[in-house]
Amino acid sequence: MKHALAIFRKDVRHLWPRIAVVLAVELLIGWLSFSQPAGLGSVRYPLGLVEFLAWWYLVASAIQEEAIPGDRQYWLTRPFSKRDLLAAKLIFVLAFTCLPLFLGQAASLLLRRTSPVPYLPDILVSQLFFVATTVLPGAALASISAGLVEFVGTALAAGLWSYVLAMMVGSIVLRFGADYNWGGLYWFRSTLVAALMLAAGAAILLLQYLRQRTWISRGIVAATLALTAFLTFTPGWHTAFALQAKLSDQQVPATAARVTLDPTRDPRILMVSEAFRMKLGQEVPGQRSVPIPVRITGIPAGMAVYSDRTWVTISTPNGDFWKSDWDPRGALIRPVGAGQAQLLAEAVQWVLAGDGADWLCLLVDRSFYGRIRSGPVHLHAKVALTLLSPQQVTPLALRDGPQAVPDDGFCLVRSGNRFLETNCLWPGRLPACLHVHLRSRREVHAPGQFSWSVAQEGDRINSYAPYATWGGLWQLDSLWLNADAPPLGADLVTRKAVAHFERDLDIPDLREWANR
Amino acid sequence: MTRIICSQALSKRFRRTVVLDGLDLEVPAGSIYGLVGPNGVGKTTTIKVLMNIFPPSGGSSEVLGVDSRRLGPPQFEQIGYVSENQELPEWMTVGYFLEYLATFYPTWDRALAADLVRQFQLPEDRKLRHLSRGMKMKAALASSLAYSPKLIVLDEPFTGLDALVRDELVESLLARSEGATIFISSHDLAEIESFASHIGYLDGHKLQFSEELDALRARFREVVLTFETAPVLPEQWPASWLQPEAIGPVVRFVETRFDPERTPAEVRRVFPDCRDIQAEGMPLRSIFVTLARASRRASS
Repeated sequence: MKHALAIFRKDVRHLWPRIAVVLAVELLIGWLSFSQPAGLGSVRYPLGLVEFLAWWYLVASAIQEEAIPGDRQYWLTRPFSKRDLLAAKLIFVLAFTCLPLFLGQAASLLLRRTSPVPYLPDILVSQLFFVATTVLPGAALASISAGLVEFVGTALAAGLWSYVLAMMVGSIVLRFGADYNWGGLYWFRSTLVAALMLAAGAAILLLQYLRQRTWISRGIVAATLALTAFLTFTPGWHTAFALQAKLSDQQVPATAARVTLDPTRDPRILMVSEAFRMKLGQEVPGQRSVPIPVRITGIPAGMAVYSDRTWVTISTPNGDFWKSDWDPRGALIRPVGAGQAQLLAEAVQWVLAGDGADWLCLLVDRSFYGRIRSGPVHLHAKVALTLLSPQQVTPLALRDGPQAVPDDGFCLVRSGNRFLETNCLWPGRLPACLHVHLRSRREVHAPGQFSWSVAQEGDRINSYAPYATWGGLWQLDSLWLNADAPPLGADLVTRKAVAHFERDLDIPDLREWANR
Repeated sequence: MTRIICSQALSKRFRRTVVLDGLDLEVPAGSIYGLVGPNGVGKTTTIKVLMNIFPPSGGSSEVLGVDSRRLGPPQFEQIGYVSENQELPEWMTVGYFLEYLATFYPTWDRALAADLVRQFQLPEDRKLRHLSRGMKMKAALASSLAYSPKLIVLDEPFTGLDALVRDELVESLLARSEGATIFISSHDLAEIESFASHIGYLDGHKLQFSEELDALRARFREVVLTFETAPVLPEQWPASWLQPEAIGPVVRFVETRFDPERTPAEVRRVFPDCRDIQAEGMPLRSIFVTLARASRRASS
């Protein structure tokens, strides 16, 4: 350890100007992201890249002080233990990347008058993701490069390789049915990718420092990137959902939130609205949208459900059979709008509270549909549902400056004559479901105030993750609302995910099929 | 005599290129062993394999009684290694370089280090990158002598240095390495000749011979034979006679196994009418030029 500390002190002595510059850059970007999330606008992503590159520069500089590849370094024939060398680099990384980040995160909570103690697990998980996805990849690439120039070359080659892989895997998966949008369950993939990067980064560093096997390490880099590209499209959504259900705080009784056929409604009327048809995926090549009129009963008072995916089997007395995968485009929806909702609906609700006239929209293979449309069928559907907590409504004032919202979050609101922009940040995790009601004075359909809201689309459901995966401790949700008239006020509406479960809908003799 | 370095059938390939082929080497303790040979025959590679910088492709080697593939901090505490193409931490000042390294050596002698700095006239507050090549080598040597290593390994240490600096380095090396074994590679034969006790000659990626310098000098002679008239030359020359040439009544060759009794008898057997035999000792450089030419001729 004495030797590790000596190497660490030497690194600090040499690299202190770079440490100072990088920490200043990180502090500035961190402060801007925290205090001016709206002001950053389109600069946010380039700044994120600068932040990432600055960390890499510092980590690579420390590793390159004693470059591993090569046969001319003075330290190769000095009594430097490789373990001490690795320990010294770990101390450096902890001291100048993890520790400043930790202090920054704790300080940001204190600035919001929030104690960091309850958020320690979130901070630590955020640090773990930072190490897995930023520090270790940078250190691993630096350990297989003989200098900073080679490091840049290696990083560019790795980036190009990732891009080619993503294109290849993406095109293959899209051809055979894409499954990349896991919605609220995406955190499983993020966690898997982070775990893979953590394992690969640690393996490369150990291999390099203890065995100096640069070519094997480069192979591990290439394989890890390939596996990461695959993980981005990996199947197994239903397994992840089952796991998510087990992780839920609350179990849902079988009688709650039952989905039953509503034979009183004629499914044909749903097809009147063009916009509605578009939403249902009418235009998906080779597939036909089939809306089934259903009722959802037994949703606990104040709570709501969101359908994550649907799975369906259809069989006929003739032995024809078809089944879908767990389809993200199939969903329980509720048409909304003025007048006869079913006929004129231009918008749909995806978050369903209380009993209502809902539709289970399924996508069925078009050729199969053509064969069986004239006869009765046996339809069995499974719907994966998420139970959402009662909504919390927080009034937002149309003024500058942060406004506190529940769960230690805060929102920054910016409004103009025809728009409202909200940028809300929460420590650790976002509410599973979030939307903003905008109030404006303009009268459209009725005298008085017109309430206009933006409903959550399916892909706007936030992560169900129990921790923050990407983006650090503070999780950001930005919304932009266009208004017909100058906004007067707004409400932030949030819900949390409390349970995940499946419901069956079995229709043994669906005779109306031919009418659709 | 204890061997500080030894190898058996040591070989090294870089992909398909053979750089070392079946090297059998023994370096006795306390010797000053010069590994010499033309450029590109594998001297540096030999040293890097011995120092565990390159893994061997075949065979085995031991340094300080330890398999060279397992050389680690305990062995490097007793080894001083200086190479012409070593990358030093150029941002460090001479003073900080020595102070930093002192942490890693239990036997580091600060007084000796200070003495070496004075002797080499090293500017302690100057960064290594601002030193001349000669000064850099002095700094590297000082940093490798300050802990009195048992084995000092020098890879072409004098390349590109002027004569004065070379003399200073050699003098200091000899004065400060009492009891240590020195293993030095060089193609600068004149320097090696002045202080080496043992010589290994590497050519064609193989060790052609390895022996004490005095014995080497004793067995190599440039022989000049004088005749009344131009002699009839033999179709087959004895194997130990290299580079034979005849100019009128004079025949010259290099005898590689000179013996004061056997060699004249051999001459009389080949040239019964030889009038005079003169055998002169050879400088090391001439010995190696002869060997190198013979080797090339044999390989062509």
